[in-house]
Formats: sequence, C-alpha cells, structure tokens
Amino acid sequence: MNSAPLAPSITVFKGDRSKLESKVNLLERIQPSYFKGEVDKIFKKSWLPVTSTVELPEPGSFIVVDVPPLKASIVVVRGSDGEVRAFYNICRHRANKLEMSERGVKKSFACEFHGWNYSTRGKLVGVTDETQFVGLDKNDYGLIAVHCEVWETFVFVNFDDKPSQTLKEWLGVMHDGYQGFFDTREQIAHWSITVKANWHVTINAFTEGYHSLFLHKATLPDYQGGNDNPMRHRPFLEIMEHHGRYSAKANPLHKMTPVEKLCYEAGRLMYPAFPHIDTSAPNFPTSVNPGRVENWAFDITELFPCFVLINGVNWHQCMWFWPIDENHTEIRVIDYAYPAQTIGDHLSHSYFRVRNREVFREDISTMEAIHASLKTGVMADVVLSQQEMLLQKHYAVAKEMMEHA
Amino acid sequence: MNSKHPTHATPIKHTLPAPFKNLEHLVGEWALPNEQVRYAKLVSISKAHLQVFFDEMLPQAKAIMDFLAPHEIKNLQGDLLTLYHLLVTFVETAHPIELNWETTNIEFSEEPTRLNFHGPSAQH
Repeated sequence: MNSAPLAPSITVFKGDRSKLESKVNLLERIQPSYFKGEVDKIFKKSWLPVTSTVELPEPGSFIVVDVPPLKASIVVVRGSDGEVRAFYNICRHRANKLEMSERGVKKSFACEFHGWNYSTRGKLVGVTDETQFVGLDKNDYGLIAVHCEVWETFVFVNFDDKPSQTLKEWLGVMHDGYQGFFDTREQIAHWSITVKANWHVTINAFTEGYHSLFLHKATLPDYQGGNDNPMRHRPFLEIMEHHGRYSAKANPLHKMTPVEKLCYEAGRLMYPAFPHIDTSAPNFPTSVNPGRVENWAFDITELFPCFVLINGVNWHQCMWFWPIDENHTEIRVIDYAYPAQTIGDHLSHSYFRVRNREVFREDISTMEAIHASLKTGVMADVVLSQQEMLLQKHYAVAKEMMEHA
Repeated sequence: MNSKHPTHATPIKHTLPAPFKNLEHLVGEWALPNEQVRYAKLVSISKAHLQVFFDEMLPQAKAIMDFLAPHEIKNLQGDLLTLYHLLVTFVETAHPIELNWETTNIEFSEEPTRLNFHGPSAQH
C-alpha cells in the first residue's frame, strides 16, 4: 500500500496510487510456472490490440496476426459487410492453418489442404465433394470467432470465452477521449525483433522517461528537458484501472540539425521536433495531451498488458511486447503518420522513422542484460521512482489479475 | 497498403537529371531503394566513409528537393527515381554525422542484423 507523500517535482499525478508499490519482485516473474499463470489469468482475460483498421481499408482486406502468448494465429478481416472480425486461422475440416499469407484482399479464404472455402464473414461456403460428408451441416463449421471490437483505429481481440468487461469498460476514460485523432494515418515503418528477455522487462523500457537523459544521449540530446526541467520530469502522469499514461514536455530550446530542418520544413514537424498545437481548444480530444501541459511533445500510454501507444501531433507509434515464454519476447513496432501528399512529406516521414528507429534500438539494448542478471537469482527486487510510476501501475494491475482472475 | 510509391521492380537508372550530373558517381553506391538496404549500408561503413557522402550531398540537398517537389512520388521513374533514392539515402544516413556519433552504429545497440523489416517501408 502506497500512502507516502509525493516528492516535489513538476509532475501532476492523477489517479489512485493506493495499490502501487515502489519495490517489485522481478525474479518471481521470470519463472516458468508464474508465466503459465500469466497466460491464463492475464493474456486470456485482457482485451488485446492486434492491428489497425488502416491495414484493412476495404471489404475483403485481411491481416494474419500471431499472438505468441496464446500460441494462436488469427485472421483479422473486414467482411463483405464492412465489419471487422477476427477468427482463429484454422480450417474446420482437419485443422490445417487456413491463410498462409501475411495480408491481402480476398473474396473468400480457401484451405490449401482440401479446398474448404470460407466467406470473409467466417461462414463455410464451400466443401469439396460435399456429398461424401454424410449429414454435414455447413452452418456448424464456420470459422471459430475470437471476440473482436474496434476502438478508434485499433482492432482489439479477447480470447476469454465470456469477457468480463466490454472493450469500453476495459478502456475506461480513454474510450471517448480521442474522437478520430488517429484517422487518416498511413503506415510508415514496421520493425520486429525477438529478444531474450521477459516481457515485463521489455515493456518497462518504454513507459518511463527517467532513462532518456542517459540511454538516449546519442540520439536525443536535447528534445526534452531544458533549463526549467533538467531531469526531464513528466509534466503529467495518470494511473487508471488497467492502463496508465504520461505526457512528455518538449524542450523549447531544441536545435534542429540541418537535415532535420530540411525535411521538416518540406513536410510537417515530427519527433524530435514538436509543433505547437492549441490543445486547450474546446473540441480538442481530451486524451491527447490529457494534462494540457505547455510545450507538449507527446503522450505515452500503456494499454495493459503488453501494448504501448506513443502519440504526437502528426504521428503515432504502436508497440507490442508479446511474450513467447518467460524468457523471450517478440517486440513489434509500427509507426503511423499523417498521409503524405508531397515529396517533402515522404522525406519528413523518412527522417522521422530513422530517428525513431535508432531511439528504439537504444531502448532494446538493456533488455537482455537485465534478464540475464535476474536469471542469476542474486537480485530479486527492483526499486522504482515516482517518475517510473507507470511501471508501479503495470505490476499492481498484473498482481491484481493474478490474484483475482 | 501504400500504393503511392513506385514499384522497385523498376530497373535502377545510373544517370541523374542534368542539374545533378555531378552527383552521378554516387548513384551506384548510394541510390538505395528501401529502408532495409539503407540501414544495412549505414551500419556496415565507417563514419569517415559516410562523411564523404554527406559532405557531397548536403550543399545540393535543398536544390534536389525543390527539383523533385513538382512530382508525385508514384510517378517517379528513371533518373528522377534514382535522384529520389539518392536523397532519401542521404536523409536516412545523416544522423550519425549530425549527432556527432563515434561510428555509424549506436554504441550500446543490439546486433544490427537482428532487426526485421516489414511492410511498406521495407519496400521503398
């Protein structure tokens, strides 16, 4: 129970801190039996974002997504009726993997084994040599659906038989807070890497700004901080029932490099340069710069359990930290940006994605070392500052789900 | 997906439009067609080698941008496409020079070849 007063900082803290703890046992969380419990009690019970509607622009558009903790492959498809649905990627005949390509546009899905054919709405519509299946009712053999809902541009799935909360309940105050902010974006970067580190260790690297002064001194020497905020404290940090978020403050003294200036003058300002935007305007989305901080740079939101959303004015980044087992995590990153109309816009995108990629590469550089240290068993606990409060939140939510699910 | 970009089945032209003929000797090495190969190039060379490319490109980068500006990216072909790839390679490799890195790679980064590239940016 955390009833300690807050230390002085510029940070405005919002939300219930009563369940947060500043000391967290990570050693117990990297044990195989603990991870098995997390799969059952966390990953099977949570709403999990898996893709974006940007990837599903027209009826028949589909994308195949692997969900490593559930050992599941799912097909997310925009049906002929425009609805987005998710199905296990399994043919109902002999359980072959149905769709082999990663993405595309199809009128139907045909299994390569015996040609069973499914509509984009998941119905079994064709059985090869059907008369040889005595008494077969095709209505009983549609694709197996996964609970699927769309929020803003994000497609969520839930593997529970009966989700205990709707997606709206799961998202809480964020649900109505973006009002189309992510619409009309296009994908500009997509990377992945598998690291030998526990998933908690990996997501923790992206939900605090305390490290930025040190780890990012080569890639981001002056994008935050400045004379009035030398330790780069977060100006706003909020703890929600499941999720957490903070805002980062831009450094008004940031000096653009010549190539950064060239690109961003030809297109739009993107990280690590931040345009001024009047977030106090009456209709501005309440979840973008939710603390209405001055010199706002971007927000970082952890959608529990394993997704991080980073959003600035002209871009947003989706990051997944999918556990494969207690020792390995697949990290997927997709960057989206305002739609490019001109060559200058494309160059702006290019500059952004490369600066962003290099920062990401720095962020992943500590994970395997941390995991290896924890595996020695010498040190069980880590200690977290109030600037790392989203990590405290992460572990409090995980603990509650492990104890009560 | 992103259909705005030209397909890169298009053969690479080793010539540049007339105003930039003086940069043609850079084309074979630096007019690279997608993020993945530009990244692989970056982490495989010395900073001194990169510096030579950077120093040649910087004075003409704005003029190249202005020259390409009237065009739509999906219509770029031939020497215009080559010029664009030269410019994008410059943009995507400038940071080790501009941020005064010791090398072209990040000091404490993971082994660079472990990063996988997917989607539209892996193709252009």
